[in-house]
Amino acid sequence: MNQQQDRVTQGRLAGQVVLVAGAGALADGVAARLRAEAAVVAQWPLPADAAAGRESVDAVVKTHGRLDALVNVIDAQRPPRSLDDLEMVEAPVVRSVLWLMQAAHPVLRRFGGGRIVNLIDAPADSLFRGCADTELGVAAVATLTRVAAEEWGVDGILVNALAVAAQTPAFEALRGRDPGRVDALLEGTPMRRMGSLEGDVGGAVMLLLDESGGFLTGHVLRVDGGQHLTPSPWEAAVPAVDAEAWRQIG
Amino acid sequence: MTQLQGRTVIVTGGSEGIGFGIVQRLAAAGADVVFCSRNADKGARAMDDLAAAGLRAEYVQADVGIREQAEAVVAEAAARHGRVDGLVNNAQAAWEWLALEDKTDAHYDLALGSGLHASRWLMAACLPHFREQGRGRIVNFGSRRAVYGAQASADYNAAKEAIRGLTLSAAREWGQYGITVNMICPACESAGTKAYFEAQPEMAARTLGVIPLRRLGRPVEDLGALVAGLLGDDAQFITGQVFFADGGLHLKRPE
Repeated sequence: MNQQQDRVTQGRLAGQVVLVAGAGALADGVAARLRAEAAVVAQWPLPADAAAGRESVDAVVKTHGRLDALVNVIDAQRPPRSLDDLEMVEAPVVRSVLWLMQAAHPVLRRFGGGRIVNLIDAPADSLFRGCADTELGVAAVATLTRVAAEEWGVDGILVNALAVAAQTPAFEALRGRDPGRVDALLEGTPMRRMGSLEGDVGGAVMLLLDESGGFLTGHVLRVDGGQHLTPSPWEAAVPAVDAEAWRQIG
Repeated sequence: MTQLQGRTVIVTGGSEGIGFGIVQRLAAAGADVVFCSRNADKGARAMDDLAAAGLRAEYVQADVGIREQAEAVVAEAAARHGRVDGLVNNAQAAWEWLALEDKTDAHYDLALGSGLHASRWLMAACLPHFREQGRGRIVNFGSRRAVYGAQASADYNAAKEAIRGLTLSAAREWGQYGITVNMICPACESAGTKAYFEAQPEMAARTLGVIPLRRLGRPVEDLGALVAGLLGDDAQFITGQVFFADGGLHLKRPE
């Protein structure tokens, strides 16, 4: 059941140059998958200012002669912070993504179009307490994705976001603290597992970078094995077999 | 292109339009495609066109709005190939431009029968094959019109949104068997849109101008390619999602 397949890759990105922005296991996994598909991958950290964003894009074009896609991977673990402690000027990750997208836009336009993929956490329709800046950052990147899709479509640039539930070291650390509870939660999700970095998340990035994604833009797609459909607190409290109770709750 | 080699895929409403585009693209990707439609003449024409293009697929005449015929398509595909790996529920009867209050029971019966019931009968018939293989792919078709409640197609809208509900429920309940269930809402060119745009160039410019990518989708290269991607391994962890394959038109409301 529930086979996880990592089919032999077929060099589908041969000749393409992709800038992967971000450090950490998720960015490394995506970069590895794209390299396995024969792309030339340049990996840079998320920039600390607009100049650093331009520097990374310029360096890629100078070294490799072109740019076909930008993949921003937002995988930073931020300490929990309540709304009371938040300043709206924060969510630094949004600025990094904006700077890279702004730097990539004229370059991709010059090459006749391209793809931008922003990897984010699950969007904020199921909220975690005490994570105000993370939630705001995710929502902002999602909106930035949609706005860029609308404005840059005319240049042949497709912009999408992937909201991922991946088996990152951060997830493993979380699981390590309470494996029983985490595994029980996962058992309640449709595909019963977290996503693998190269096969599942890397695969979804491939879907957006190759022909399959040629007419998709402005999406925030979930790569989560259906976790967005998982039990609500009500569902956890009321056994699924109790149909009468379900009718009462609605 | 051998992305789908060895995989048996069923496409309903496959003898023309988007469905035929999907059939062509899947056949080109190496899949064993079994497609059906109500009209055997159109099916025969589609088979001729496939042969002329050097592509192989198999045609079964069926009205999938009738339960026995829907189930027979799956049985036929399984009998011929010994397996079923994917289902593309594309069939949906055409709708009449009528105000909601003028739609009759017959309109709703046709919309729900050819869309919702056909989709669920085919899904149910595929389930045992998917479970046995520990893997399955279902791609259903929805509509941006329906998501936004566009006027004059209440019967069609209701059927399409019912299919969206079915899509989410199946994603939730069948994920444990390695089955993914997703929906595509297309904006695609057809003989009709081409003729209309040629006759009304100003209207065409205005219509295409609101689409971020400034064009409609192509049945083979856009819709077919997306379906091929969703049937393959790239999309193995994506389920319960709605793909607006419309060049960004979903970022605007219709009309």
